[in-house]
Amino acid sequence: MKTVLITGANKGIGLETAKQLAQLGYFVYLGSRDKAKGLDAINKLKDAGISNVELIELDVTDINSIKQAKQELETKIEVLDVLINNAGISGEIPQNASGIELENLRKVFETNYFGAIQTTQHFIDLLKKSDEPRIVNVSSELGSLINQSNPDWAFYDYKLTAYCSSKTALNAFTVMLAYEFKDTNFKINSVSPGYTATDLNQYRGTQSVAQGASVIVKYATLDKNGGTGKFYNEEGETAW
Amino acid sequence: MKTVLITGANKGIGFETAKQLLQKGFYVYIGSRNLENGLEAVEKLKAINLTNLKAIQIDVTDDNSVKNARTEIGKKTDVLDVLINNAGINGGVPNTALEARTDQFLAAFNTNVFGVARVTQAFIDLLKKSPEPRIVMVSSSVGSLTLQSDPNWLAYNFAKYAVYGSSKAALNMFTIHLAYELRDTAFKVNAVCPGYTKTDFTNHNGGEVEEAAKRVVKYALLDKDGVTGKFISEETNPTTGEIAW
Repeated sequence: MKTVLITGANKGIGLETAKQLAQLGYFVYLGSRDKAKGLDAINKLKDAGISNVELIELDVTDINSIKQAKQELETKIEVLDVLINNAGISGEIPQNASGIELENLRKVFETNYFGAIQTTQHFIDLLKKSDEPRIVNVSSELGSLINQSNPDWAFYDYKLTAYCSSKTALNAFTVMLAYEFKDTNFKINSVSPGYTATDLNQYRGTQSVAQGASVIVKYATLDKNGGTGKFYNEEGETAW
Repeated sequence: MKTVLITGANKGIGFETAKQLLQKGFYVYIGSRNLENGLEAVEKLKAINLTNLKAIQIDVTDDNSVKNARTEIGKKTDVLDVLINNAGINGGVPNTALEARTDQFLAAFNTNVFGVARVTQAFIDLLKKSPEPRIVMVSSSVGSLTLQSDPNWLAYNFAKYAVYGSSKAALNMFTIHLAYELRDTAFKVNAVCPGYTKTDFTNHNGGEVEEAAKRVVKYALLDKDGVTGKFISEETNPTTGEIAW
């Protein structure tokens, strides 16, 4: 049975991704910063008849929490097939470039960028033991520099400086990491699930979590001919 | 007399940029994290008869230092015409995505991204008083995700500096957002790559520092028809300078 660790999986797109991968036969380690919320999520999945799922307490901004989560996972499995860096925050408003509080900016990077890096670095040993290791960095088209400079783009006025630039940095991490693993079986991509109704955007997103999660699942389950070092959305490759 | 603040101007490309702008008649605030190094730089420039300048202690990672610099410059001038966010660090080694430590990533982003935001926010009021305000973000083609993903790019195999490159990509996004916010004003805000240049940043490999500073100066001096919100590397694209994000 293939294994997957999803960070920030107690709700929203993360939880739905957990559900879909469990239904595809993966054993899902559901990462949650908050144990009680994580257990709630597990119970929801069990109520839906899904049993191949287990909670891992994991705060991606806390190096000790990451180390503990890794130790715990190592007592259960020798191989991790998929890592989905899904944990993310949108930050406080306002987020215009000249007005954003620096503490707000730094906090968003701590989860969305430094958190994803720390998590990846710590679980890479377990991933290397997989025959087909996959890493999905959950990104956003709002982090696309090309879109953000295009006045004709539908979301051109969505200039959330902290959120967007943290996703740009995460995309850069994807490119760099994928390069370092280019001669291996790893597939490492940034994936934008699309504008999905979750609490990250006060449920203003225009698609369901099921749709959003399905994009992530697609790139978590790429076969050996799949792309790596790319930025994907629901339609395929998208602009950096 | 037009005024400019250059961060990290005590050496390297920042210092040479200061020199060239002095020669063009600017009053230059030489930003330096360490005041003594700044004062030394000022002496060097005075020795070649460039005298319209002042050293300013500014550590872009430190709120108080930036506030003090703002107060000090505010006492000397009501208007700042140009801000050159030049201070930057390369993040050290190891510089791979897999091996670089979290504290390296943090340090690089503190200076190269959050530091730029801090300084820009502190001086934006003085810049708004200029009829032709210009902000140059000293960036790098290494921060281009398009180039970094293109196996045909000349530096594809040797410029994979994970820490530095991603900090410049984030800085580029900040540049786009700031230019957007100021799009209906006289501001010109651009990310400019000076090119691979002989400084202590590169262990003195690369092109001449005069050439690099010239590229920065050009975008500090844009006229009202100049571009804004662009990513410029004349090293990569000598024709228009504009390169892919």
